[in-house]
Amino acid sequence: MEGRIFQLNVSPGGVPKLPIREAIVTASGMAGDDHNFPDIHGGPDRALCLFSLEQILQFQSEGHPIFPGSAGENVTVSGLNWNQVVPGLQFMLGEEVLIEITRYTTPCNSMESSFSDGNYARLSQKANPGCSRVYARVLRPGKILVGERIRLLSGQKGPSD
Amino acid sequence: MGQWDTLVRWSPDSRTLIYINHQAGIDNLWAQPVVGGPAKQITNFKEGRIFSFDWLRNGDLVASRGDQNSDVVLINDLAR
Repeated sequence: MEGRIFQLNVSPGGVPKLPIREAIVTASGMAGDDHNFPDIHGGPDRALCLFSLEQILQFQSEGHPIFPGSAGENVTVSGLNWNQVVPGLQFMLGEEVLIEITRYTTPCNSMESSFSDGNYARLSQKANPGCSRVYARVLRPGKILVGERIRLLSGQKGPSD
Repeated sequence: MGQWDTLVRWSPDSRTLIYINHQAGIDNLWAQPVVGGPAKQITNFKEGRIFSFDWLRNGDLVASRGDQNSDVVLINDLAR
């Protein structure tokens, strides 16, 4: 399974997270990124939030104003079979950064503005399997750039491989 | 030149390089055939920057553009 980093996004807290060209990633997350409510966002097991460009485009085709970064993801990825990106899998981001998917992200009301009817539950894995953002921990820090490859770490298999 | 001007992508048929051309504060995508000849402008945005662009598996070209915020614009007739 291989994809590409479409966009990298940061904010001092809240959404939307805004695009940057490259980022330094540590166990704490992406340099320059922060959270409004650190008790429910951030931390080692929620260091990065990832979401699928194709899923964003699907939501847009349904009339929703979502865009890369508006749902608070740090890394907008393209080309991955998103319903196969599940907790436990490890991915290389670019040539340096190794991450492990830890959990699906629980959507909160700050996502309302991404949906024309405010129904942010569309991002819920429980309500809409395969449509959720995911959290990841950083196993190996480094630098990542827009356009770099994302690849499933060798030897691992996705759910339907 | 800004940091966003450095993105370059091959077309899916590897015959063309797509790049961001930044003029007067406005970004557009241009295509340069590798066999030579003039580059061709493939978007005609009147404002804003292009933050990213790439091809989807179905051949659609997608660009993320805007000012402070971004917005994905789907360009789906380029590779047809």
